[in-house]
Amino acid sequence: MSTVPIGFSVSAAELARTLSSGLAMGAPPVDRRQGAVADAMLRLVNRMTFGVTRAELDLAIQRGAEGYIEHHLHPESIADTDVDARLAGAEYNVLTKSPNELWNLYYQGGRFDSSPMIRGLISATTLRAARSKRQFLERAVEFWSDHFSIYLFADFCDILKVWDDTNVIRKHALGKFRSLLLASARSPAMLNYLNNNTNVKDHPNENYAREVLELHTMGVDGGYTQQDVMTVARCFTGWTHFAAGTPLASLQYRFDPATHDFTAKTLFAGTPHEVVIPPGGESQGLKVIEVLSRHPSTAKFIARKMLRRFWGEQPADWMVDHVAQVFLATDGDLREVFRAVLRQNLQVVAPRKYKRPFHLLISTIRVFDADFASWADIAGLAYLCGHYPFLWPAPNGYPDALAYWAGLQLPRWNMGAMLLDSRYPSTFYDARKLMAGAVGTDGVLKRIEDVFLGEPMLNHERGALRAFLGQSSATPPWSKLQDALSIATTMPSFQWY
Amino acid sequence: MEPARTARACREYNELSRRSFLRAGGGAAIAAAMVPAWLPRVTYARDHRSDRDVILSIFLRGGADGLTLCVPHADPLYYAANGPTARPTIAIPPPGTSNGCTDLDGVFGLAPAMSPLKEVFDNGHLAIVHGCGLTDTSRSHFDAMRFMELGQLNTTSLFSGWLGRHLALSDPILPGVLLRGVSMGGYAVPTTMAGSPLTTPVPDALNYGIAGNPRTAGARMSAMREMYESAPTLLRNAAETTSGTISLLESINFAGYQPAGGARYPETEFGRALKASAALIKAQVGVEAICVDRGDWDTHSQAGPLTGDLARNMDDLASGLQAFYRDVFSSTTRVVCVVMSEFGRRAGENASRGTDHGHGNAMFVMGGRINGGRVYGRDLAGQPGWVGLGELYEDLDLHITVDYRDILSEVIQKCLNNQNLGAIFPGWTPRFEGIVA
Repeated sequence: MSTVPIGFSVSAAELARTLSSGLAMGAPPVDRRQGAVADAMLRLVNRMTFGVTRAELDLAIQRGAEGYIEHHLHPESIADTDVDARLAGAEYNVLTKSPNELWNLYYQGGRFDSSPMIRGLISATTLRAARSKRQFLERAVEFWSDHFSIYLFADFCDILKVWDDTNVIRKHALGKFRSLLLASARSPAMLNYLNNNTNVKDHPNENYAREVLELHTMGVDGGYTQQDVMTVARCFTGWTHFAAGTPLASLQYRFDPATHDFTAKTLFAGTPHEVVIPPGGESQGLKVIEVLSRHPSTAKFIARKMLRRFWGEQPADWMVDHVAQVFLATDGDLREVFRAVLRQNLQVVAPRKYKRPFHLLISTIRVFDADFASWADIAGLAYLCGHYPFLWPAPNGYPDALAYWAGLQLPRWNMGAMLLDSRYPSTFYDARKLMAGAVGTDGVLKRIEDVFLGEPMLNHERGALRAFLGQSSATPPWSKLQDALSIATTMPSFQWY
Repeated sequence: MEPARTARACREYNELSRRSFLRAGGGAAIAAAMVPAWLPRVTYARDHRSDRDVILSIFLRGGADGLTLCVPHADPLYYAANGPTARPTIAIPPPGTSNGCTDLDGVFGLAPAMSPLKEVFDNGHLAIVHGCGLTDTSRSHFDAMRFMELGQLNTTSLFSGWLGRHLALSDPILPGVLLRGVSMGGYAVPTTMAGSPLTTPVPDALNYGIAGNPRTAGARMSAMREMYESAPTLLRNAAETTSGTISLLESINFAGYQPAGGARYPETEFGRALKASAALIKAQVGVEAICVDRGDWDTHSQAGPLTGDLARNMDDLASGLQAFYRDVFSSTTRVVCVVMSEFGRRAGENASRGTDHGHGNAMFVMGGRINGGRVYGRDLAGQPGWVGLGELYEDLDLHITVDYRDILSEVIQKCLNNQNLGAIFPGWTPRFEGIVA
C-alpha cells in the first residue's frame, strides 16, 4: 500500500484549506490513525464502489491505487458472471426491449400494467449496485442517472426509463459526453419527461431547452439568457417520437420536419461564444448538442459535479479547473474525465462524504453479503428514506449534499433492523457467518469494526456497543448479536464513506 | 399528437399514488415489516397559552399557474385571441359561463377546481395577493425555489431559510419542547426551515417508530443515542430531534384522529399531510411551524386546467385547504397558512397546451387574523389594484409588483410576533399591504 503518490501540485496551505473546508461543513476529520496512505486507499475504494468489501480492498492493495482505477475504468474487461447470469432471468428481460416492445408489453388485453418494467428496472439497479464486480460503472451509472434525471411518475416514463437506462445511461456512462447528451436528447423517456415531444415551431415548448442548458450542460450561471433558452427550444422543434398518421403512438425517436423551425438562429448572441446556426432541419439540434458539449461552462459544470460526487462536497477551484481542462482537451471523453477526477483522490485525501440512503442501503447489504429473491422489494428500504431509484420528482436529480440528507434519521436507523428481521420475506443470507469465530465481546467489537469500517470505530461507538453487549469472554447469543449488528449499521462512522 | 393523448387518457396516472406505485415496483413487504416497536396512544393537550400563531407553509413546487388558480377574468387580455397573453385552449372561462370561474370580486375568480376556497374567502379568512412573487430573473426552478426559501435574492451567503430564522430567533412556544418544526410528509427539512432548531421531517406520521424486536427497542435506542453524542453537529442534532420526535408522536393518536367541523381531507399524500398537521397542531405539543410540499405544477404540456393534471392538482390543494380550515379553525383562530410557488407561468399558452416558466404569481394567505375576502395587489405605478396583462415582464410574463417577502414579513411580525424582520429577510425593507388585522 505504499505506492500511493501524494501531491505534485498542491501546496501545504491549499491542502489544509481543502481539508478544513470539509470540517466546516460538519464532516468528521479525516482519520489519520492508520496513516495517510492507508486512508487514501480506503477512501478511494469507498469513492469507487457502493461499499468497501474485503475483496475490493485486496484488489486495490494488489493493483495499487492507479491500477485499481484503471481496472474499474474498463468494466468491459471485468468478469461479472454471477450478475450477468441473474440478469438473463425472466424478471429482467424488459431491459433489452425497444420502446415499442415495452409499450406492447405494457398494454395487453385492454389492460395497462407497468409493474413488470418497474420491477425489472429497480431490481436490476439494486442487484447491480450490490453485487456487480463492475462497481465503478454502477457508481457512474448512478451519477448520470441523477444528472439526466427522469421521474418514473412522468408520462410514460415508467415504461420508457427502462430503455433509457440501458441505451442512454449505461451505454454511454464511460463514453463520450456528446454521445450521452445526444442519446438523452433523443431518448423517448426524456422527450416525454421534458415535453420536447410536443415542441413545435409555432409557440415552442421550452421545457427541455431550459433544462438541457441549466442542468445537463452549462449550469444556471453558465452564461446563457432567456433568449438563448428560446433559441435552443426552436432548434429542437420537431425532435419527437410521434409518428404522424399512425393509429398508435410510436415511441421511437424521429425528427418531424413538419413541425421544425428551419430558420437561421444565433446562440449566445453578442458574447465571445456566439454561434450562428444556419438554416436547417435536424442539423440545428445536432449543432446545439455539439456546441453545448464543447462549451467551457459545460466542462466546469460537469467537472465540479463529478468532483462533488467522487471526491468531496467542496472541491477546490484548482481541482475543478484541472478536470475541466481534461474534459475540454479530450472532447468530453468520460473515461479520461473520470480518471482525472478519481486521481484527485491520490493528490488530496478526500474529506468524508455522507452516504445517501440508497448508498447506505447497498453498503449495508454488501457488509452482510446479503442476497434476496426480490431485489425490487429491498429497494423499498431506500424508498422509506425518500431515495427510491428514479423517483426524484424534478429534473435536477437527487441532491448530493449532506445538508439535504442529514435531517431524516429514523428510516436510516431502521434499515439494519429490517434487513436483519426474519419476518422480512424473500431474504436468503445468514448474517451469523459475519460473526463466525468472533469470541467474546472484544472479538465481536473487533469484527464489527473490520466488516463495517475497515478502520477503528469512534470511542462513543465502541462504548455504546460494549454497554449494549455487556463485557464478557463468552460470545453473546445470536439474538443479542443480531441487535448489535442492527445498532452497528447506525454507527455515525458507517454513515460516511 | 392525437394518439398519445388517447393513450394518456387511459392511463389514469394521477390516480396512482406513490404508495401504490411502491407496491407495483416492489417493496410491499417493506411496508408489512415496518411494525413500529411502540403503539399509540391517546390524544392529549397540554394547557398552554401563547400569543403566537402556528404557521403552516405550503410550497407549490414546479411553478403554479397563478393565472389559472386565480383568474383575472375582468382583464380582456386574458381572453385575447392572439398576442403574448393568448390562451386559446387553457383560459378559464368567465363567471356565469360553462366551466366558468367562481367570481370573487368582479375582477378575479377562482378556477372551478379552486372553488372550495370560496367559503374561506367569503368568511374573510383568505387573502389572495396577485402579481406577487420573487423577483428572480433566471426562470430556473431550482434557483427560484432556493432564493425564495432562503428569503434573499441571489444570495451566496445565506444557508438558513426564512422560517428557520424565525424559529431560531424566537423562544419555543412551550418550555422544554421536544419538537418545534416539522416537514410533514417530507423526507428532508426543506430549505425554508433550514437552520431551524428542533425540526425534522416526518414522512409518515402513522409510521414513526423504531423497527425490529420491540423488546429490545429501548436498549437499542439508548445505544444509538450514546453513539450520536460524538457525531458531527448536524447529525447529532438530527439524532436528538429524531429521538424526541419518536416519544412525542407516540403520544398522539394519528390513526384514530377524527377531524372536526365536518372536514373531509382528500385521500392523497397532500390530504394526509394536512390531516396529520391538524392533528399535531391540535395536540398542542409545541410544534409551531409545519411545512408541506405539493409538487407537480410544472405544466409545460397538456396543462388541463378544467379536467386534466392542473385541475386535479388545484382540487387537491383547494379541498385539502378547505378541510384543514374547517377542521382547525372550528376551534382556534391562532393558525396562519401561507401558500407560495417559485414563479408563475408564461402569460400566453404554448403549442403543447401548456405554459412555460414565467414570473409574477398569486400567493394565498389563510388565517384567523387575516384581512381576507380580498384580492390584494398593485398596479405598475404601485397603487393598489391589478397589475394587468397590458405590459408584460420581458414581454412574456406577469410583472411582480408585490415582493413575496412583504407578505411574509407582515405575517411574521403580526401573526408570529417576531420583530426581527431585519434578520429574517436581510437587506429587505418590507412594505405592509395590510393583510393582517
